[in-house]
Amino acid sequence: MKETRKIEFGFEIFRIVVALAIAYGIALLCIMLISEDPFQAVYMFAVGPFTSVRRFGQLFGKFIPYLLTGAGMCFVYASNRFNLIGEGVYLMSGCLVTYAAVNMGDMGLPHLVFVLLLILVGALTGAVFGSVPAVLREKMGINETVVSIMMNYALLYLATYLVKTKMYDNSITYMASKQIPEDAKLTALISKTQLHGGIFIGLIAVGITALIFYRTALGYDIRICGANPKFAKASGINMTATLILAQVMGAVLAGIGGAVDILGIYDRYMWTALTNMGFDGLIVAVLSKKNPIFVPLGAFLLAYMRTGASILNYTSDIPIEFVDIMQAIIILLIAAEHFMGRYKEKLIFKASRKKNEGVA
Amino acid sequence: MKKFVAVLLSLAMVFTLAACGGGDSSSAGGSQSAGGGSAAADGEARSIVYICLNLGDLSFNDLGWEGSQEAAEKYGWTADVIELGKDTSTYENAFVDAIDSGKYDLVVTQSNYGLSDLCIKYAPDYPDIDFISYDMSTDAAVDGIDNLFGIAFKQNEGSYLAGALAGKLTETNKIGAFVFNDVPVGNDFVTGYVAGIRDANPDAEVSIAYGGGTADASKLQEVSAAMFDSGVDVIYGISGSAFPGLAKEATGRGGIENGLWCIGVDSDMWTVYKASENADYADVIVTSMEKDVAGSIVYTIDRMVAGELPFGTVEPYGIVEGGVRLSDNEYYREVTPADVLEYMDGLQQDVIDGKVEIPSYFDFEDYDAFVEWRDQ
Amino acid sequence: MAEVLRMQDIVKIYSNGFMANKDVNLVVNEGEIHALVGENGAGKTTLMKILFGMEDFQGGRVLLDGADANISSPLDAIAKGIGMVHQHFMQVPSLTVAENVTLGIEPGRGMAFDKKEAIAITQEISDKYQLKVNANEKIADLGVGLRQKVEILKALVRKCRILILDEPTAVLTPQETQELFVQLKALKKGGIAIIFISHKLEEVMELCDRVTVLRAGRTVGTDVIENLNPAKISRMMVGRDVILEIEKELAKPTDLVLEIDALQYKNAENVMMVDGVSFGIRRGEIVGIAGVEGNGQNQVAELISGMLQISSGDIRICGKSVRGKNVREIRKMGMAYISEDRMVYGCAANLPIRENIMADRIHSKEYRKFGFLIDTKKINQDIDKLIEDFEVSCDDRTQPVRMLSGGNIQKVIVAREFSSGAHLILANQPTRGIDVGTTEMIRKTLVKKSREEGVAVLLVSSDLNEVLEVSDRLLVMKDGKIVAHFKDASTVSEELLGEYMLGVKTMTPEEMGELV
Repeated sequence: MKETRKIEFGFEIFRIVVALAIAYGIALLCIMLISEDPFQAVYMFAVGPFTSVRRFGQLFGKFIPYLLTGAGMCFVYASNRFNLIGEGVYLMSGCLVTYAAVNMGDMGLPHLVFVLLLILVGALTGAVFGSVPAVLREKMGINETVVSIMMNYALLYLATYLVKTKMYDNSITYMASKQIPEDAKLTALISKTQLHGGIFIGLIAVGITALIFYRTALGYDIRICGANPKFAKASGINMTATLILAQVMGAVLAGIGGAVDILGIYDRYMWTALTNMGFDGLIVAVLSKKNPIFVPLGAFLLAYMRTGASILNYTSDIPIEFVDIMQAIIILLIAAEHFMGRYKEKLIFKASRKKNEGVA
Repeated sequence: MKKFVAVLLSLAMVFTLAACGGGDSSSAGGSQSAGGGSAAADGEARSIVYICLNLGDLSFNDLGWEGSQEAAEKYGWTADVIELGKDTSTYENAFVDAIDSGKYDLVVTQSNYGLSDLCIKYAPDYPDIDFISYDMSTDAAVDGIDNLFGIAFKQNEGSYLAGALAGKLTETNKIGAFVFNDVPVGNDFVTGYVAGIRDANPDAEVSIAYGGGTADASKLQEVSAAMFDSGVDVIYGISGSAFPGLAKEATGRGGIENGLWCIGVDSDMWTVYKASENADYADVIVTSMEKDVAGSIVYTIDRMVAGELPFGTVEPYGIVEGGVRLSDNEYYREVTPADVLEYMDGLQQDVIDGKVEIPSYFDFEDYDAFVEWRDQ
Repeated sequence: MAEVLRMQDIVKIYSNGFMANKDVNLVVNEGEIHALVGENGAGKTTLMKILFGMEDFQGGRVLLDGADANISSPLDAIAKGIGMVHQHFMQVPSLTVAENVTLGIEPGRGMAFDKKEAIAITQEISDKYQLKVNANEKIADLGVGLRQKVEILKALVRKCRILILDEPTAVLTPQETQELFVQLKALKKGGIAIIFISHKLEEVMELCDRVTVLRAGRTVGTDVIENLNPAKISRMMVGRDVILEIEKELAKPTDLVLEIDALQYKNAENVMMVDGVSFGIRRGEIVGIAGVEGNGQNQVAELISGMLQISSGDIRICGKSVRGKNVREIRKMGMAYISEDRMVYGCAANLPIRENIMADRIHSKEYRKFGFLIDTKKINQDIDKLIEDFEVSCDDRTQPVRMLSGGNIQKVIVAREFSSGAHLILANQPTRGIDVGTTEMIRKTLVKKSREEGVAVLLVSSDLNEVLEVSDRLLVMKDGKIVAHFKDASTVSEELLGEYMLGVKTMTPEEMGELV
């Protein structure tokens, strides 16, 4: 049966390569058709993120929060729950962290203490709001997907309300908070780029997630509950507690993600629509096969694609809507687990039949 | 398995570092050439970059692009547009990328989603580029930035006139307004409108409905149906994209002949609708509160070319400057009762002469203070 | 009689590499009731899913009336005259019988639904085959027996010529069963071919014309009922592949570990599955429960383990009641459980061997390090030792369990359950469908556990050779009750055991004596 393992592993690599090739092929074809300068556009889409320090830095503006929301979604996805509260928590955390930063700006806290305190605010936001769908699901059996999606909108409007009423700024004409004090911001590691100190928080969070997954009893419990709940019950795992904890952990990481993002690259809180960063976290978790060790890889891949698309948008004549469509195609093909599944099955059938012939 | 991942990761790192190094030098070259080429003295050809969120709203974003193109054509310059899209985290990079590219020496942009902040932040670092940001707040900190000029529209002034007109036109003493979203600019419209109504007709009742930011025509149609049902007979539709919903509902109920009036926004909507496929909707629009973004941009660039633009300030563009106005078209003259016309002409003169004090949303202490004033 | 269906050399491999059907053959004639029998996991359901278009297959042919059928989906199967009555009814409870029967083929023009016509259609078929139901009644108000009739009507209205019934009597009372049989015989007279899936051999004997037996994914044989008897069929089902003699010393039972007292269990359909069972097991002895599958043995094991909730009566382990306790708490009391369905309750297929073995003990202090981490070094050592001791053939401890063969998966499971330090081991069909070598190893280990470590063992098995060889004492269950008790299993013959299992003989309480 070593055969099957080899087939599956080889196939996984093959599948991602083929998916990427097809997706980029479609994208390139479309660019060729609609752009007046297709070669420049293709170049920007594929190589854009690496053409200047700042553009490479922009990639980190996505990579860093993806580390956090991706690791968070690993918890949720590994426990086989489809809880999307990370999206709302991300935004709410950004809002409450901004509020705290604005109000504590003149307390004269040392930079590091101030930042860590604000990250803690983000984590608590995640814990508080994230526990709602988790507890409703595990204690009362209410569908976590429905609750979390509805709550995401409630949190969006709550945040907007807070900005309007509690963080009013006369010097701007649009809906945003007061300016975040410089002291609260995560220091840029390379100036004028989005590569900021949050990367350390992100990498540490991924490390801790991996540690919890593979080096603690809770990690074992979460993975077993996710892989086969009936088996988890039969082997005496406390499913309610495990699954609540896993979903809350996911929300806490999303909350830290929102805090790091707002303190890393924004001057004000200005999200008046869902940011998609929580949903993207789910894509990262899918790309990394719910294994936290692969999260940096998945986060990098997604950040690279999003950044390439963004650079393509502002350096070429391709309309932004089209760029969105191309991103969607690529992500769809990579995330589709069953893409070319028939081919994989055929390989396995062949191997199995050979083996069975030997027996019979 | 682990080894494979390690190899993959390190490969990725090598690739990125190499690519990064390569890109670095080319970008440095680019900005050098920018430094050499963009010392645009007055009179020399310039190149405009217009930075906005998304084109296609037939309103705010499109009008800015229209103004930029008009000015470029007038002076034989070039104009490019950059749409930023929905993802706010990429705005700063796109902005800096544009001013770093060396291709542009005049940036025209809005203030939305931190764009005015970006102008304030980066203008000092790019002395060879001029920045015009419209829809800014007069309180913005632009002092001493001598390559940044801000335009603040006095939508409250124009809305004051719209409110006064509504106050005079109503027979039921019930007046309504729909605002695209509960944001500061939207509330500045409301502030002027409510003040105008109170001055012209202290007995009138005002009801304000807010869209959720994604206001569409069907939502506004629903809202206006409810308002008409409750006896409202004048509605100010402060949303370019949702306005057809209001026009449709009012047309269906017999429009002005039946005593139901609509006031348009941003452009002269009667003229626009007359020329469009929805020509039959036009006749419910007594007038519009024009917020002349395009005209204001051209006017500003004219002043810049003449060397008269006071950089380092935010100037309010009101009725006097031509930033806002009530549309004075033939239809308005035709359908408005003579006494009301007379009153409106007088009031407009008073506003121009500075005899009327018009409150602004930006004068309120905070949002709660505004709400309290609005609902009193 | 004309042949309507021929399934020839069917091969089905699931995507995890598991071969569920190996060259299976089934031929069904017009107007016959054909029994498809076999143990759980023998491949009956898979075969029927293939026929009904719910699964594709990798080899062989399906012929209807001698021509290749190419059934692509259940809809296609229905169009080709195949009807299936599932164990779980596919009905809309809030609609009436007529509406359910005509669902998807509603009479009427365009969007309009002709209710009268629907009732007429339902009534016509109902009269024709004497399946009496009230077409106006709501499904939600009907009992299980009537709902089953509706299910059959649904197939008949769609003009089915082949009707598949998947364990139809499992949910019925004896009276309802008899009624169903009368109706099925009427259908048969109408020329319809019926495939009847069941464990209950006396029903098969009573109802069917021919029998096909499957074992471990292969066809054992097909024969007419006249040549068969229940003992013969059950021998075909269980097979003679594994005749193993296990040597063991005489048991020396000591303290009571498990006490069961007037245990009752009613399932969701309100059928009494376990009806007043009482017995006990002492340290150092192995008690076997024999019985034809579906007579409550499985439920007894699941009640002890905490997977099912007791309806009435009591179970005590080492003197403490398990009532109201969950699996975790019962395991803490010293219970280990090898469940009947190893892929569902016994392992997490996608996880590595290591995680599967650690599932019940990962919280143990033994594996704790620095308070919150686990001691991976110790875990890896222990897992490697278990893999070696139980001779699990695998790449290493990180290999996902789904990639192992059935026998090796079972080895992983017993490695876990036998090493958990339990006083009581429940082994529910521990060697079903696995190879001889593993079977022998598991049986020997069960004996060793009881003799050397004084563990109390409850063995539930439908393999007669297994219960006779391994058990010290032997119970027989029939219809949820204990019908026989042998103090020394080694003196019992398979024939005698078979008579008790099939209900030909029953012991009186006096004959059984004390059941501890």
